[in-house]
Amino acid sequence: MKLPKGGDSWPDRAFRWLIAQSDNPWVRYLVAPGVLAAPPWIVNQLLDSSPVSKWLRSEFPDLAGLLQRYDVLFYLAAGAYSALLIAFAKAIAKRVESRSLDLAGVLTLEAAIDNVVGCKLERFEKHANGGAKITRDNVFATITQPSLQIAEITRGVAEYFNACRPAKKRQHLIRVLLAEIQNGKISEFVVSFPKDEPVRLTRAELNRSNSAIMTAVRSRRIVVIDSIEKELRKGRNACYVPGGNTDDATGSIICYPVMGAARLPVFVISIHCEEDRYFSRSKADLYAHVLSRFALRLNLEYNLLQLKERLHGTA
Amino acid sequence: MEQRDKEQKRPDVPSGHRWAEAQAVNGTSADLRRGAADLRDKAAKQTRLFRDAAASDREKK
Repeated sequence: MKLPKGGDSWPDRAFRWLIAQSDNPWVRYLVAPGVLAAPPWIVNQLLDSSPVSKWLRSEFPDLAGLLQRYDVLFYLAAGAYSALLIAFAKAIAKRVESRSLDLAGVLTLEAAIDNVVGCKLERFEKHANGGAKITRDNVFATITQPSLQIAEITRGVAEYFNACRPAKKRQHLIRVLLAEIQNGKISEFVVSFPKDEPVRLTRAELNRSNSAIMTAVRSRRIVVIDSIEKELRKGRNACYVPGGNTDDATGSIICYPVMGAARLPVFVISIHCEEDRYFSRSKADLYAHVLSRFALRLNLEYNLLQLKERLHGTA
Repeated sequence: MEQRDKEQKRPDVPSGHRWAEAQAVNGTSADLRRGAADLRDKAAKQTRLFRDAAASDREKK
């Protein structure tokens, strides 16, 4: 699976370039050891009596004098330099890696999607093995259950995001809401998870133009609010509508529009975590990539639902 | 395949409504926690599989 490469700021691009260079054998076996060894070697040369030392002393007399005066400190600094450089390289690698899914993340996503397909397979198998009376006329209406499948996909989103959350932070579940969009407004709350924690805001409240869902509908792009508390401090410019419950005024949220035909949003997936800054705007590309896997399937089922409604009246 | 009790309809959901089936799907906090733990287990098993295969490839080289 191809993963997004994270942010596009110049440090990110520079770090990715540096990481890519580390795969080059010339850089790995020649340039990197040279960069690591150069300062200790220079310090050593300046302090002994070799010809190189004499040349360095004549070319850089001030530096040589300083080195002789604080020789122990410079030896220590030369040693620490290597350790600091390696730590810096590791930090760069971590920064670049943290913007993409690791192997476990990709496999968790695969398992979540497999679960959704598994539900459909169970149903198909049941009918294929003669569990219900199937005729040429009713086969489509019988085996397809797009409304149910849309709920399963949304549950897949909820299970996936909760599965990816570090164990120590799993006190409260990440909540997921799927809202149906018609004519640029929320027409229905399709389903939300967990089911024992109902949506705290009304449709009318979430249909306000400054809600995160409506911002995603208008912009047709993913909206990530790192800190709801900080967002609300913006006052009128805040892209968030708080509910009466104080829990709604904290945490972080993602709103992802699912685009249908004519590039218009048909759903918005809203994902709320009660932990402040759990979601990060800098990882928006990654969230969008993960959610696009689910959105593709939601869109397919939505088309199936419309087809079924056209043919049979109800889904 | 794991049999999950998903297709049960809740009595309070009006039938005939476009999203009645969707809203009838189970998914309480306990269900979600189980589902998430199941995903983590599956991913951990697969991760070990891939890492073992990669380690085996490195040894061959």
